[in-house]
Amino acid sequence: MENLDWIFRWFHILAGIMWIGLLYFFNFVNAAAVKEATAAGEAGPISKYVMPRALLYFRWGAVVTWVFGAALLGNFHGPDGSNGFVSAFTLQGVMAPIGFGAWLGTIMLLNVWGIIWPNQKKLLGLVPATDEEKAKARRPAFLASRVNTMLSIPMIFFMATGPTSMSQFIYH
Amino acid sequence: MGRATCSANRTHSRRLYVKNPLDSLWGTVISGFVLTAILYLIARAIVSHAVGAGA
Repeated sequence: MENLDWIFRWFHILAGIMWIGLLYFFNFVNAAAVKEATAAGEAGPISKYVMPRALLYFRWGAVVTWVFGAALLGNFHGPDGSNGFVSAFTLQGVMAPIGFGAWLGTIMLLNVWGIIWPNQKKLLGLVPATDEEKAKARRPAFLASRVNTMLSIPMIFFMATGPTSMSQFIYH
Repeated sequence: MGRATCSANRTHSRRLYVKNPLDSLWGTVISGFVLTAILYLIARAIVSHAVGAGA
């Protein structure tokens, strides 16, 4: 399985760009655009044509990123023979930095599927919801998306520095 | 007593005006960098401890 390491890493990064790229699109571009478009009475096309497609790639990008990241970790074995997945998630020694990244990514994935997507389905009219339910769904969806944007900053830091040769200069 | 009530009211009203940094995009980004610094220090301590212990 060691010769599959590169393919796990490749797809982990590809899917990660899809996921975090769309997260940044939602937070840095779309939120402000929807606010202005709503004030102008023109938000309909964004909700109808852009958001469902963007959320489709967003939520499945999150799953693919996590699965290939988990495969990459599981394929790694420490000098003592310990499994990388277990060592990372239990924050063992030199695996602690990538473990922090893995935990942050996992929390973000759960945010996507547990909070953002169920509430966005109501807001976009993909499931039946009353106006009151839509009003209640807005704040959790917004905050979960902002929490993920905040968590993405340390998550990417640990992904970039944890498993590489530069980690000895940063953490030792 | 009056001063204590006044102080309590001031604390209460101050709490009302505390903003959630996540309501602002730049508040979110700054919070992310602060969290990075805190987690980095914890990760470095764990790694140093492990390397010192010969792990």
